Amino acid sequence: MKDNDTLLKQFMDANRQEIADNGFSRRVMHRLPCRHNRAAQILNALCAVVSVFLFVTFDGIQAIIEVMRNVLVYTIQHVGTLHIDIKTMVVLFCLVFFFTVRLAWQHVDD
Amino acid sequence: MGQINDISLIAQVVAFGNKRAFDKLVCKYQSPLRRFFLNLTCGDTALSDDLAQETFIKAYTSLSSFKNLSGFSTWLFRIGYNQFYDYLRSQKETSDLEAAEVDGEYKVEQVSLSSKMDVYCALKTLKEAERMCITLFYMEDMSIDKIADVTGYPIGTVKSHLSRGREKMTTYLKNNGYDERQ
Repeated sequence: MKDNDTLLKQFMDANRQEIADNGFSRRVMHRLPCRHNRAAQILNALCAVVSVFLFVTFDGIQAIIEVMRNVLVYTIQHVGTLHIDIKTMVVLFCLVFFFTVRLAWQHVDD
Repeated sequence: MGQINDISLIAQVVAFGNKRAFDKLVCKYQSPLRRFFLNLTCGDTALSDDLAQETFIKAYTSLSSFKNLSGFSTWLFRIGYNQFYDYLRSQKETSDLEAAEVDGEYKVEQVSLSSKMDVYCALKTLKEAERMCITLFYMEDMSIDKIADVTGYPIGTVKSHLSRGREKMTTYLKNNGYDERQ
């Protein structure tokens, strides 16, 4: 019984082979389905449609133009008295940089 | 350590949809899984690769249901085991044109092309369940408990499959002069 076990162990050890990848994992990765949740996709589409509807209904373009004009006028009027905080600018820059890199990374992954 | 690394990779796939993390898992387990199928199919490389591919895809889609009760490799082999039996069942359903004869001819061709002819010939002398247990025990170094987890057989059944498989294989090896070569 033990002899049989030893014989079989030796035989199997001698025949155990490591199989080279040879593009197998790449083929698997190409065939992977998208993991996005169906419900989340439907919710996103629904929200997008509602947003567009509200934007058009409440004259969004006019509102944006109004705000931009006010900002421009305010900036021109107070340009001499503006105080730019360096810390805030650095934090703002870091945040924008972080989200840009993350977005780019996600696109590369997909 | 390896298991912690697996869990960390799985968490990255489930939480962030990180495909690179899954790629690392595929690279790590492709060899044992393909070898497992290669032994079950007695050396049919194309079929083994197809089954392994389907197993990884199924693992990817149901990764969120992984509970880590017995480790990722056991869970993956369990999926592989189901995949293999699904394949056998589908073959039986489409066996109108004397599949046994076709299979026989096909297997002979596969074996003759393989340099591992002896091991596949020896494995061919076993029944499916015996081959499964022998492969997992001797090739993949799995414990009897883990084999029971993978196959869903009771521990006693695994032991008797191992015993019968061992008997048949050693008889085959002795008949072919293997004990004299040691």
